[in-house]
Amino acid sequence: MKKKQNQTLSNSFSPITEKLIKASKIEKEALFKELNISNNGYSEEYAETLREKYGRNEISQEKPESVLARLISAFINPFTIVLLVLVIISIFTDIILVAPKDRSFKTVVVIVLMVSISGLLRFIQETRSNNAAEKLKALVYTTVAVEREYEGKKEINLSEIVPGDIVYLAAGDMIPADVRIIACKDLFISQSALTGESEPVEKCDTVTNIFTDNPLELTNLAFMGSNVISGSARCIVLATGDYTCFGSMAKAITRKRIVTSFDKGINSVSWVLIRFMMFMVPIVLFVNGFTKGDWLEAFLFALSVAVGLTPEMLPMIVTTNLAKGAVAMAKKKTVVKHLHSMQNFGAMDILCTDKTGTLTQDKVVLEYHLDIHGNENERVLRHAFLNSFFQTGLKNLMDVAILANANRQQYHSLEQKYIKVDEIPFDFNRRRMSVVIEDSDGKTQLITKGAVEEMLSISSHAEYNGNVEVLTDAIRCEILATVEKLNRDGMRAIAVAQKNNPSVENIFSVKDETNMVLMGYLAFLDPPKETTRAAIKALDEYGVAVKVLTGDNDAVTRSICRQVGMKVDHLLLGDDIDRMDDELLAKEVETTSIFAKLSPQQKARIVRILRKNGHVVGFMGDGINDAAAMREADVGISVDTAVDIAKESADIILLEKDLMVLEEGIVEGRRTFGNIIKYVKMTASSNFGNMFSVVAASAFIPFLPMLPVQIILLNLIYDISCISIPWDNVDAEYLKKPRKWDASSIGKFMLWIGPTSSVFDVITYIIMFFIICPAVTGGAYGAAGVDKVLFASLFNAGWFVESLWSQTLVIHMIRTPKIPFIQSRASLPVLLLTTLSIMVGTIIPYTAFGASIGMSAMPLSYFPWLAGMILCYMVLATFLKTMYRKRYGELL
Amino acid sequence: MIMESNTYVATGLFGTCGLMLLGLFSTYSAVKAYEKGRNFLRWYLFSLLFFPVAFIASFVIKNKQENLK
Repeated sequence: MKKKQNQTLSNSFSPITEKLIKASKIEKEALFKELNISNNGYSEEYAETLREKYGRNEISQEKPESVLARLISAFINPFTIVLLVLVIISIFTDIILVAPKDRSFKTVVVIVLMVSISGLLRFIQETRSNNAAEKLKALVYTTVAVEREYEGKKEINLSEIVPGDIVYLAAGDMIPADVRIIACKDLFISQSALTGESEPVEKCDTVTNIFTDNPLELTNLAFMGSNVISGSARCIVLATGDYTCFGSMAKAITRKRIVTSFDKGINSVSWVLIRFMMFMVPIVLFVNGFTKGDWLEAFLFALSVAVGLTPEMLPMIVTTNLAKGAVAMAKKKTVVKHLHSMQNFGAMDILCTDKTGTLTQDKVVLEYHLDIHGNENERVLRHAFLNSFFQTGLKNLMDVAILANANRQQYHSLEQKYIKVDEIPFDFNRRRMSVVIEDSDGKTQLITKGAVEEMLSISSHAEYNGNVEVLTDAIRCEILATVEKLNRDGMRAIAVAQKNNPSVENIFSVKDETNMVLMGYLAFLDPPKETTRAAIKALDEYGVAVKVLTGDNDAVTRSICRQVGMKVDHLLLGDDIDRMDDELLAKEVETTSIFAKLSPQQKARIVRILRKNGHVVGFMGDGINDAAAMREADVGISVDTAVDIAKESADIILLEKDLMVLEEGIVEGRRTFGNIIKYVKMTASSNFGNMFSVVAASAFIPFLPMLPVQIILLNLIYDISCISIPWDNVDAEYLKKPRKWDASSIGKFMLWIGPTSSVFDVITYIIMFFIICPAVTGGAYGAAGVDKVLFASLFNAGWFVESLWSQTLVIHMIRTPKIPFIQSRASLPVLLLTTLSIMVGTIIPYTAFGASIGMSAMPLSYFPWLAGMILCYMVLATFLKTMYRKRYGELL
Repeated sequence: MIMESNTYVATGLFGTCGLMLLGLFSTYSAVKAYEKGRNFLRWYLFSLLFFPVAFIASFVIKNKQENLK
């Protein structure tokens, strides 16, 4: 992958790469001069001018489809193509090849009208869905810190930056464009999206002498699509949007959306139906051709049957359902970034979550700053303040709490007293970070803060009452015991250590973090949210098990989890997990709900194993350390305040950091899935049943049971009535369980329920052929004096109306396992649209329009038969539904 | 109105209808037997071929799961 992508870029050696390589080889002063940039950045007016020139910082591939493209695609689908073929044939058979007096435009007009209605319906629905999705996307955006003349450093939308802008980067940020680094500190960048290389790459701000035609190898450049792992930087934007490396090879490297089981399922259903159609249609053609002799009519009939059996509305119904669900979720402060993750949200049966900010209040308060013997000590806070103040990486909640607690005059004077010399950024393996500062006398000191165990391992001495003493095992045990007690009380503790004149060469690295003097530790309180307990209970009631995956230590995790009502008897640590092979871990993850002291890779591994075990896993987090696990999960969930990379990795963004919001989202996801699966099963079974009916009619009826144009009209009316399905109600019982896509259930459903409507189609044939039509025409088909055309047109109308009634009523039958209309009622839009469809369809044979498409008015005696058949149909469908549920447990 | 010329239509339609109804109602015996721990498919085929016998048998047979308990 890496090789392929690197090749893609070097192969596409273009002005973009040339410009980047050139910028990497000149000094920053020269670059400032060349790009006409002042140290204070561009003014907003000038930036606007450049924005007009270069466009917004967006990749074309990610821009929505144009209105014209959507309009064209709405009209080009199997349904309209077949209709257009029918129009062309009708132009010949009804207009060109007939005498002027016999010319009829009716069929052509009717079919053109149908094409227009179906295309417009599709266009309107898809436009509304797309607009809704775009509006949702706009709710969540990424910002970047940019230098603006007269305004200084300010946060702007990532899409608004222009070439020449000076931008600032810190840990967790996405690289907003292709940039030249002009100043940086311990900058590590993950370029995996561009190169496939998982290890972060260290970047620098010096001119590079590497000779390469691949800019990705240049160390003073950073690229759109990558993200900052640690450190900080100041950069000049060289290229934006499509002019970036990412933009130039977007097609090759844009992270493809994972094809979920749902996507595969929808495709497989479509293909099963299309394959059925392709198998059945030639049979229908030949049976009709040989038995009736009119091959053109047989061909048109087979073509119309093909249209009727094509699930042309499936993509539209699915998109509308997802968009409608996403809009409903947005009202509940949940933004769905990728529409298809809606279904996974409803299918999720395990929610893995970080502890801080999700279970807890996200407001960390510094409770104690203690020396090694557990006494309050100001020097400990003072050193912690210097560390938090001077570090340039991502300031976590504990840094914020330290700075807030030390917000006093005496501390602010420290800012002037010291200058920062260097910084060794945080990483999840060391679990600590250091700053090197120098005072006015030139004395340097390394101040490190981090996890207590890690700090004890790098400290050889301890400070107490101004004296430095050897850190004995007894002191270590005392510290660990105090920390353990704090943790049990739900407090998180970190230790602070320092070292004077750590390096004579003034080059500082992790190697200097040894033989340090432990000063003491800080204890923070991060209490659980009031709503967490209720939210976990509610999720449990909806069949979603919550698992806590945290980097924090076991004691504090246990304490918080106990407070929110989780079972804490079994807990696994990161080290335990590393010792387990996948097979053992697969068993352990099933019985363990709390995992502590995890690295980002361990979090991702747990999610991967859970998925492998067959679970649909959601991961909720907001930090850099959560991004890998979020990508691994079926549904990545983050919050609006999360770091860029977490938001980028997420499918769903909560505008409110509360587990309670999730419950509502899950219910909405299940409702959406319920309505989609309802349509899929309905269409599959209805089409399967229709095939039986058509084959039976073709084999035994001496004329076409329905004319091609009538089949198309029937299909159009049915499709219109299905448009309301996304707005249908879903039974409360259905929403209680996670709903996973199960392709095999569709096949079974089709085989069981499909033939039910066929039985009544065949009964209609019998009633029409042997009772109604002879009664109107005065004799049996083929008898002397009987008008065969009238006989056939009556038959057509009878089956048209019955077919419409049964097809439309099946919506009400299948949408619920309960008794329709009595125990479970469809929503008003579904009731209205299905009733309207039935009314319109029933009236058509009595209108001039009906006559123009070859139907005759049925006698009133038809309707008692129809009512009886529909009643029997509903009874039989309920019987089959009951049998199906007894056999397979559930209907949908 | 069935005339001699229409016997083919009548045979075809009535036959199809009868077979379909048999297929649908056979699910009842099969499901009943399945609930008593029997193989669904085998009982469905049995019911298709000998519906009245299978129907009665599905009521008479003992519950395998209860026996196991």
